[in-house]
Amino acid sequence: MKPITKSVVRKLFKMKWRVFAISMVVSLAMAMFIMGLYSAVIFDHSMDTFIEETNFPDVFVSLSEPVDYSVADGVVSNIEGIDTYSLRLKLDGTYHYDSDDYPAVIIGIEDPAREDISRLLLKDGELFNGNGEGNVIAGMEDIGAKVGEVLSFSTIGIDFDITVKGSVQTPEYMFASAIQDSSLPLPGHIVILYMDLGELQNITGFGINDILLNVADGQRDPVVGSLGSLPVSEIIFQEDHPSVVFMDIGAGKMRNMFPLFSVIFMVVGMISIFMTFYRIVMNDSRYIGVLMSLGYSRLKIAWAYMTFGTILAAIGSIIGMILGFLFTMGIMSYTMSMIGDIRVAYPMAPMPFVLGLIFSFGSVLISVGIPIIHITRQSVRQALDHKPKTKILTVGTAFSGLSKTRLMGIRNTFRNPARTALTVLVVGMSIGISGSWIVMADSAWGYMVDQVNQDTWDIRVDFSSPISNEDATSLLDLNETEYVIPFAYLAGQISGGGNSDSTFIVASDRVLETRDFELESGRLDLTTSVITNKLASELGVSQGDRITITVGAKTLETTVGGVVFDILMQAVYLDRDAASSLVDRENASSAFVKLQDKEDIDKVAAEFEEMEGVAKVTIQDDIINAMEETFGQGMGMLYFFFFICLIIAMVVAASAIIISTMERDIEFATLETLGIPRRKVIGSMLIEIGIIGFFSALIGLPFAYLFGKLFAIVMEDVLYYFPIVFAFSAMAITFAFGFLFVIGSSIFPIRYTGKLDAEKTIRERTAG
Amino acid sequence: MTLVKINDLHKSYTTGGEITHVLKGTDLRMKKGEMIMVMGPSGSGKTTLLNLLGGIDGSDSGVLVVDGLDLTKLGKKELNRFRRERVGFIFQFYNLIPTLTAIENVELGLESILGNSKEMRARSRKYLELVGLSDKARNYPQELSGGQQQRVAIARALAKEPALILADEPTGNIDEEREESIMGIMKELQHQLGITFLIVSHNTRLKRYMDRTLILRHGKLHEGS
Repeated sequence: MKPITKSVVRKLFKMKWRVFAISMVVSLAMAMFIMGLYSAVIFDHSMDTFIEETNFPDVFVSLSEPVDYSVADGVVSNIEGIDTYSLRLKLDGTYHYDSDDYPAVIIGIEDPAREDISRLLLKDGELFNGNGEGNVIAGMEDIGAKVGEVLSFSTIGIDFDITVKGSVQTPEYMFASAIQDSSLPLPGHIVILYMDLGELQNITGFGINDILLNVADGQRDPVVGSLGSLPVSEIIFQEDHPSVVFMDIGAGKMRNMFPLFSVIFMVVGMISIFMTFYRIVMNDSRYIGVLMSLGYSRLKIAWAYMTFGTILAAIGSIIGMILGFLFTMGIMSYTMSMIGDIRVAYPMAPMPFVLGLIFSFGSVLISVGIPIIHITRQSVRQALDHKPKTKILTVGTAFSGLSKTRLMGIRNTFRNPARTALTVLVVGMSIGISGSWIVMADSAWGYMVDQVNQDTWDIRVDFSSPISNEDATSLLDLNETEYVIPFAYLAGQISGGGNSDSTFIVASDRVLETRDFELESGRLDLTTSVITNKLASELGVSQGDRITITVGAKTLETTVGGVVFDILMQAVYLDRDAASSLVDRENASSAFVKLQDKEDIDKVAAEFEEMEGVAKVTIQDDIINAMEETFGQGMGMLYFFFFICLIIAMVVAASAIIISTMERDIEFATLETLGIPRRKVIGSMLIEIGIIGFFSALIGLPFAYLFGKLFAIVMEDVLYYFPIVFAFSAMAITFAFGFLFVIGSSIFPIRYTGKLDAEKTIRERTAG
Repeated sequence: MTLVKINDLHKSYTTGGEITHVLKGTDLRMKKGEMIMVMGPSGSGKTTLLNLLGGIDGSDSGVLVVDGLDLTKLGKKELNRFRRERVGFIFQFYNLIPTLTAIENVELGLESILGNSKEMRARSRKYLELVGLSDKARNYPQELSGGQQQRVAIARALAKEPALILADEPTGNIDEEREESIMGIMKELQHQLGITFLIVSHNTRLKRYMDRTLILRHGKLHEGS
């Protein structure tokens, strides 16, 4: 190694733990950068893997009434183009637990170990293997649906018990949600039971009423067309299945959010890395001047410092890659647990790490290179005479009453105003990013409550098969009800604006009574169509645009009459005339019910559940509770980001302050020779850091709103649209935590000055 | 009255695994009010001796008593207190705090003894006046010449009226004319206030101000000419 390189490398060894501290700036910036990119890749891969490894069916066929197994088998087995199929008996039922009743879906299947179609992934225990045994979808353990328990069910008025042998996962019920067709993964209490088909047939006396198909490429339409001899009530293609719809319209777009984090952290990381390395090199100006006087070329000097930067970048990168992977693991396991506890599949994806390495080495080398160019452009004399800027802000006698050490603290903050401003800006940005999570959580929560309160109905009832509007009304019209509004409810595809998406269609003449719709644009004109804002933004359509709605083979072309805000539904609202080409205008599949007194909700809901023909009863308050629960889980992730960003702010602040402390070590050594008590020296530093912390936290507030708004745009895809609103509590939390974390960073410079060798410092700093 | 008593003082440093014995049984007696200069070649241990006397470095063995205090037996806090109350430093490069004005630099040394009091302010003004800088009290160090900065450093060291002032090349960074002025001030204060000075320097011109000149050679002090 050349002497010049050797000397710079030795400088590194002398810095000891400071090398680690400086590397942490690189590490954290890189870790967040990698986390953003790698999470996006893992998200996609995990979703694809989940769908693929479970052999999720291409087509879901529901029959309006059970048919004999051999009849269905005879039809399906003779259709060309079907790769594999599964015949099931699927019934709505009730699960009884602890004197409470919960909705249940009971599915009879031939072979739980089947892997070629709708494979059940075992989470716990084992697959059932005979009568009296079953498997439940994982996630309902809190209501007793867990391995080893004997569960009581009833369906079509028959009670039976099943011993749970294991809990399973399947994309078919990724979100065992009791909330009908929510575009958010809202939790709810519903038990999905898989049991032996033969046993369920024996209990109920039915054949099968549910068919899963995997078909050969391009054969889907002919296959569906060949099912005509069976009493088909509903055909759902894979891309229209609620789980896939959710992954496409909701969770799938989460992948857009993570790279955005990368970009923001990259900016903050680059600025803080630059600040750190620029100052380290500028502090060496005198030494660089000596090298210049000895005839070293700019290239050789630059090379030596590049070695210095490369070593620091390498240490930072190694830690950064490890941290990046750990952060990714943490965030992905949390994200996946929120959307069905899907197994996180880690792909071999070197690109995020390669980009991370390019980012960290690039940032460090640029940060080292710029000051080298700056110094070596000067004359030797200028380089030798270089001193850190010591511009002092003259405050006159304004603070003359203060103790001198406190005065030092105040003035040290402003001795280099430009540098302080940059430090405050970068730390403030980091605090702002932290605060944006709190701002977002506050705004999203408030908006969600507002939105949910706009619904006027108390109970939604879904019928097991369509019934006439009159029958629906008379069935549900009890003494306690204020209104019953039957409606037709369908799943379909919508296209417009050159795009296509899944949607739900709500057709009713009285739908406007069920909700205080908040218009984003246009009019509440149900004779054309009113669509939710999420759907409008997905398609890129607005009022007056033409859209096409497709349900199975039926098609409706209409115009967007208005766009309404809705956080839960991706839906199109129409009156019955407008929807007549899609639905039978006389029949209803569901109904909204408003009660005169909310106190009666549980009683009335229980009464509805007992009624024949009622498949599902949803209480409006359950949606609110489910959303609260979802938010409770989501808050964990938000707080994770909040604290990670605060730690970054702390490291950025610490790295800035430690370097300015190092520049002033002679002053701290002088204080020691003067016998200034340690507590006063610490006090002086705390004042300086406190001022930086105060202004950083203050500047962090507008940044919190700015980044909050930016993230909210992304979250609109992932979650729902919500406006960012000012909330004092979010501001207070951001300010307080931001300030405290910056103050916390003082531990590094305080420790540094505590270990300072006054004698050595004075000798070295005043030598020559 | 003996203010400084050094007997058989040893001090060594380990650099790169190699032990360098700087002081090898050094002896010294200083009377109160005496002004002594220690000379010697570079690396002879002059600054080390100064640092040991000032309590900012510790000896390996020997006796080191200043103003009745055995420095070898004092802990970190007590040494800090010793520096605060009984000793004043003057450095070649002044080591003023750049964010404090001239008067505030003087006050800095006093504040820990007298608190943020009127007495502190009065005494600071007095010593700044003594060094002839009362008109520069509100100036920051970078607004002062080298000589003026050194006078502020002297005022800072003197203001707490210590038993001993340790000066490391106090005129090493100023021209001859200012050197005379600085030494004149120090000599005058020695007489007026009976302050003891130990000055380390290469500068032979300073000999004329000294009561004694000692040479530090091979780790021991010898009487100079």
